[in-house]
Amino acid sequence: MNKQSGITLIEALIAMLILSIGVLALISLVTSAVVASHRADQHALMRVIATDIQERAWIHSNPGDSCNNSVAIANLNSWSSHPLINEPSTPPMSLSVRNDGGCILTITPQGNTAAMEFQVTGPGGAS
Amino acid sequence: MKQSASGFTLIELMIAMLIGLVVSAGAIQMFQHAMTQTNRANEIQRTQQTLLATIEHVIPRIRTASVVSPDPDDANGNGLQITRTASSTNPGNNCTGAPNTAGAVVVERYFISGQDLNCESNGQTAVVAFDIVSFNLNRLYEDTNGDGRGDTTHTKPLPNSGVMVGAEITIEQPLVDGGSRIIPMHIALRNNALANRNKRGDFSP
Repeated sequence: MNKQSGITLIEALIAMLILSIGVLALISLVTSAVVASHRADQHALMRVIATDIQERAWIHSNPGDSCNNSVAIANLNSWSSHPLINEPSTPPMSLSVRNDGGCILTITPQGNTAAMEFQVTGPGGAS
Repeated sequence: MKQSASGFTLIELMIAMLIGLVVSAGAIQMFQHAMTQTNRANEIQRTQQTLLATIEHVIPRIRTASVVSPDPDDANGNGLQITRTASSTNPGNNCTGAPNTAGAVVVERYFISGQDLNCESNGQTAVVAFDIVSFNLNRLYEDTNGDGRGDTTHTKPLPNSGVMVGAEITIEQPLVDGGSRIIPMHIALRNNALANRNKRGDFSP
C-alpha cells in the first residue's frame, strides 16, 4: 500500500529547482546572442575602417611610397583620432601599421574580440 | 490502509501552489527578458547589415564615377549624386535596378525620404536601404596638378567643378539604444585617379 504514496513536497521542490536552473541557462544563451551581435557589428566597423584607409591610400599615395613615409599614411597622421575608433556604439579600438612585405594595418579592439589584419595597397602596388 | 491513501494535506497543497506560482512568475519574467534581448540582437544585426549593404552598393559606383556632388535638388547640400559612364561591354544596372545602355552616362541621385535611402535615376526612384537618417557627401579631394593624387581637400560648400579623385561620404544610422551614429568613409574615384596617373606615365613598363 505504501507504493501508492505519490511524490512528496520535497521531491516536487527539487524538481522545480532543477527546472529553474535549466531555464536560467537558456536565458543566458539569449543574452550571449546580444553580445555576439555587438561583436559582429564591431567586426563590420573594423572592415569599414580598413576599407576607408585603403581608399585614402588610393587618393594620396605616390608610386614607391613605403609604409612608413607614404603620403597616404602620413596624411592620416592622426590615426588615434579616426572617428570610428571611438565610436560609442562599439568598444574602442586601436590602429597600427607595420611594413611587412607590404603595408599591414592591424586593428585591435578592446575586450575579447580578436585583432584583424588588412593589407593596404595603393594603385602602384605597395602604398 | 487508510493512511497510505491520505494524499497531501490542505497546507501542503497551498505551499506547493504558492511555490509553483513564484516559479512560474519568474519564468514568465525571464521569457519577457529573453524576448527583449532577442529583439535587441535582431536590431543590432539589422543596423550592421544595412551599413554593409549600403557601402557595398555605393563603393563600386563612386570608384567608377567621373563626378560626385551633393544632391542638386537639396537646398542644404545634403545627399549625393554620382555621374558615371556605364561599361560598354558590361553596362550593368543603375541604382533602381533598370539596365544601363552600354557606354551611356548614368546619373544616380541619392536622397533621404523619411528614414529610407532613396535613389533616383533615369526618371525612376527606388529605395536602396531602410533606416538611414542621413547620407551625405562630406569632403572632396581634388587633383589640381593632374598627377592623379588628391592634393586639395574641399569641405562644404563643395565646388561644382574640378577633377576629383576622392570623396568622403557619411552614413548616419539610428541605434538600438536611441540616438544615432555617423559612419564616415573615404572612397577613391579610381577611374579619375588612374586616368590622370596614366597620362603621367606612372604605369609605363
